[in-house]
Amino acid sequence: MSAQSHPPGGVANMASKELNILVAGVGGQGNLLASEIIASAAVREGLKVRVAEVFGAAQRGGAVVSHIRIGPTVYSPLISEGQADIVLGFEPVECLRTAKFLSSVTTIIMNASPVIPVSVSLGLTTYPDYNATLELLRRLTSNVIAIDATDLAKKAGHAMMMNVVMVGALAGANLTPIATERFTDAISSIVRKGAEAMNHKAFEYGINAI
Amino acid sequence: MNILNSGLPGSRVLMLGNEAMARGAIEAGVQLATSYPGTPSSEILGSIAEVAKELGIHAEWSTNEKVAFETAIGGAIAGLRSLCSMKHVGVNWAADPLMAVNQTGVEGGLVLIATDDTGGYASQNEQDTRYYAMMAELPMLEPSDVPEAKEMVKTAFDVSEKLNLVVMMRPTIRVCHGRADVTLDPLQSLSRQGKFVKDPGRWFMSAWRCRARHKLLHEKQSEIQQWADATPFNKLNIAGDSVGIIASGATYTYVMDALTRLNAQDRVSTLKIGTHPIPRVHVRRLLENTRRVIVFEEVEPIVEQQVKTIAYDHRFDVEILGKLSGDVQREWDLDPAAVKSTLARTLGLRRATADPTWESMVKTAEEMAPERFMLMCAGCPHTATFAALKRALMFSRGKAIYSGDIGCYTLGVSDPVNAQDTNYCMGASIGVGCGFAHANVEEPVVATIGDSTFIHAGLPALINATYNNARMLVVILDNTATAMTGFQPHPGTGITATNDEVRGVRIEELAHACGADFVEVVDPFNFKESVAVMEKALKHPRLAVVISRRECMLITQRKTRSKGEATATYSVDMEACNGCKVCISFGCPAIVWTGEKAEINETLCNGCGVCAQICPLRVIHPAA
Repeated sequence: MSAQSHPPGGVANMASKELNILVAGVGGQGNLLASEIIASAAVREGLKVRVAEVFGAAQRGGAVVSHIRIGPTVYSPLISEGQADIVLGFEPVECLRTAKFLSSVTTIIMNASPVIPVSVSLGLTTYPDYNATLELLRRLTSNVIAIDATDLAKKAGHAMMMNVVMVGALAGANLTPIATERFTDAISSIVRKGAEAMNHKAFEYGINAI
Repeated sequence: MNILNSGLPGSRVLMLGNEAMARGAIEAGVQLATSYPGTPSSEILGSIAEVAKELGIHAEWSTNEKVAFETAIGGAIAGLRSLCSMKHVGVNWAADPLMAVNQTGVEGGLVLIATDDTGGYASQNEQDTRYYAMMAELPMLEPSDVPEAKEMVKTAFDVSEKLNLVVMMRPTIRVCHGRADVTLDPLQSLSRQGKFVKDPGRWFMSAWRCRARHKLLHEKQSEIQQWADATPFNKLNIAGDSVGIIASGATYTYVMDALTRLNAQDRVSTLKIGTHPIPRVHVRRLLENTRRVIVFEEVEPIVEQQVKTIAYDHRFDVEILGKLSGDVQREWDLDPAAVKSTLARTLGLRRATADPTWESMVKTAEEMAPERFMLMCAGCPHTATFAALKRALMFSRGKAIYSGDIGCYTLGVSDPVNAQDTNYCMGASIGVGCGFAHANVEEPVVATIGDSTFIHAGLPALINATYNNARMLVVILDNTATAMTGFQPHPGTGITATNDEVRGVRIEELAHACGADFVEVVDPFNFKESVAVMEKALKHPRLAVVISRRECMLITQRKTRSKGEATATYSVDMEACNGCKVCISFGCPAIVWTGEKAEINETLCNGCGVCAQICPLRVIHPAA
C-alpha cells in the first residue's frame, strides 16, 4: 500500500490549521471505535488530537456523535456550530442531525443505508425520504458523498464493519493529513484480535468506494 | 500489550481520559484501587484491573461507593497509595466516611476521583461534587483536559502525602470520556508493606476527639491555600484590555478556543482554575488589572461566589459576571459555542451575523430527523421480563406503579415499554415502593431492580420492606453483570475485577435471608413460565420476589462471536403476518414496521426468540 499523505486538494483547502471531523451514528454501529481509529491514526502521524464522545445512557439505539479535532491550535474536544470540516455519517438521518455543525464547505461522507428508529415503527414519527434527505444535505453543502457502506461491509465479511468501511472512505477522500498506513496501523492495534484481516479488507473497500 | 503498563516513557499515545487517570495512578505507584461502576467513571478502575495482578496492585469492584471508599481509607491509613473512583452521585454514598476521614487524615496518599456527569447525560442529576470538597474542607483538583488529568492524579498523590489529607479530583464528562494524545512517564512501583500505627486520638473519631481533629483540619487550610496559590495547574495571563475571564476545569479549553476564534487572546486576561480552593493570589492580581470579569464553570457558581468574596474582602470595584448574574447558562455542561457567544455578548467582542436562510435549512434538517428513544438492545432479557410482567398484570387491566431504579432497565421508561414510573437513585425502587405500599395505592406496586443494583443498595430496602410488611412485587432483573456501565462483574457473578473466581453470593439466598417468603427464579426467554410465575407472585399476600435471570445479550453475543459462531436469527413469515403489531409493542429495535407488516432486521436480531413466543399467530420462526 502506498503512502498518500498531504494531497494538494484536500488539506490545503482548509481555512485554518485545524481539522474538525464529526462521526455521527446510532449506538451499536461502532461509532466510538471508528473515532478511536481516526484519532489514533492522527496521533501516529504526530498530530495533536482531541476527541469527545457525546452520547446518552443508551447502550444501543440512541444517537451517538464523536467530535475529533486535529491540529496545533486545538484546545477543546468539542466542535463548534458551523465548524465541521468533515462529517462521517453512518446513517442518513444522523447526517441531518449534524446540520448545525455544517457549513457550505463541509464534506459529508454518508452511509446511505438507514437504521429505522423504533419511534418510526411505532408510528410516532416518520423516516424521511432518502432523496429528500440527500437533496437537503446538498443544499447545505455541495460536497456530499453517499456510499452503501453497509453493503460493502457485508461483502468484506460482516455488516458490523460498516464503521471501518467509513474510515476507509475518509482515508480515500484525501481530506486529512493522515497517511493511509497510519490508519491501517491503527486498525491493527484497535480491532478485535483475529479480525484484523477482515477489517483491513473493509477499510480497503471504503478507500475504493470514493 | 496494554497502554497502562507498557509504552516507552516519552512516547505519545492516544488515551481515553479515564485511561489517562488510571495510568497517572500507576505512574504514581498506586497499590490499592477501588470503585463501583458508574458513568463516566468506570474505565478508571476497569483499566487498572486489567494490569493489576502483573503490577501487584489490589484492584476491586466494591459492592458500593461507600464500601469502595472505606476500603481505600483502610489501605491509605495503613500507608499504601490508594485510589478510589466513582461517579458524582457515588459520592453521596461515600459522603459518610468522607466526613470522618477528612478529620483523621491519611498516611499513604488517598485520592478520591469523583467524575462529574455535567449535563447529566447518564445520571439522575448533574450535582457538583466541588461542594463536597468544600464541605469536607479538602483540596480538590479539576482537570481541563486529558493530558492534565494524568498529571493531576500524580500531583494529587504527592499533595495527599504532604498534607496527610485526602485529595479529591473532579474530572467532568468531557475529560473522562475525551481522548487525546498523552505523553507517557515511567511507571513507579512503591511496593510498600501495609503498616497501621495505632493512635486512637487520630483514627477513632468520637465526641471530643473529633473537635480536636476538626481544629487541626482548619489549621491545615492555610497550607492548602498556599499550595493552590503556587501550583501551575492555576495559570494567570494578564493582557491589555480591562476585561478578564476566569475559567474552571474543562471550560478553560472552551475559552481558549473561543478567544482564538474571536482573535482576542492578546486583549483579554485569563485565569485558568485547576484547584479548589481557588488561587486567591491570582484572583487578586486579576481583579487589580480588570474592570469586568466573567466566570466560566460547570454546574454551580462556586468559583463565582468565591471571586465575589475576594473582591469584597479587598474592596475591588470590579463587575463580576457569571451564572448568578444570568450571563452564563445555569444548567448543563458548557461548550465552545456557548462560551463564544457569551463572551461576544458580555465583552462586546465581534459577533457573527446570522443568516436566516441557512438557519431555516438547519432547522428543517433537524426537524426531519426522527427521534431515537433510549432503548434496550435487541435480545435484551429485560425487554422480555417487562413483556412478561405486563402480561401478568392483565388482571389489573395493566395498571401498576412501576417503582424504577438505576440500570439498563431504566430504559424501560420509553415507548413502547413504558414500565418505569419513578427513578431516584440506586436501590430506590424498593425503598420508594415501601412508601407506595403503605400509602395504600390502588394499583399493584412493582419494584424493578437489577442484580448489581440490588447488591449495591437494594438489600437494606428489601429487609425494610419485609420487616415493615410493605406488600409489593420485587422483580430482580438479573443479567449477571453491571451491564449499563460496561459489563463489570459483581458478587452475584462469582468473578472479581481481576478475573478471580470466588464463592460470591446467590441472589435468591439473599432474598430469602432478607425475609421474603416468596422467591422464585425465572428465565425471561421462557415467556409462558415467566408470566405464570409473575401472576402467582402478584397474588401472593405479602411481598414477593421474582428473579428474572438471563445473561446480558451483549455478553452472550461477544462469546458467540469470539467462538466464530453465527447468531441464529428469527424472521417473520411475511405472507402469514396479519399486521397485528403485538411484536412491535414488545419494543425490540430489531422488529421494524413496514407499513403493513412486521419485519425483523437480520443484522440487529440477536435471536432471543421471545417475539416468536409473543406473536399471536405464531408466524415468527428461526430464519432459514
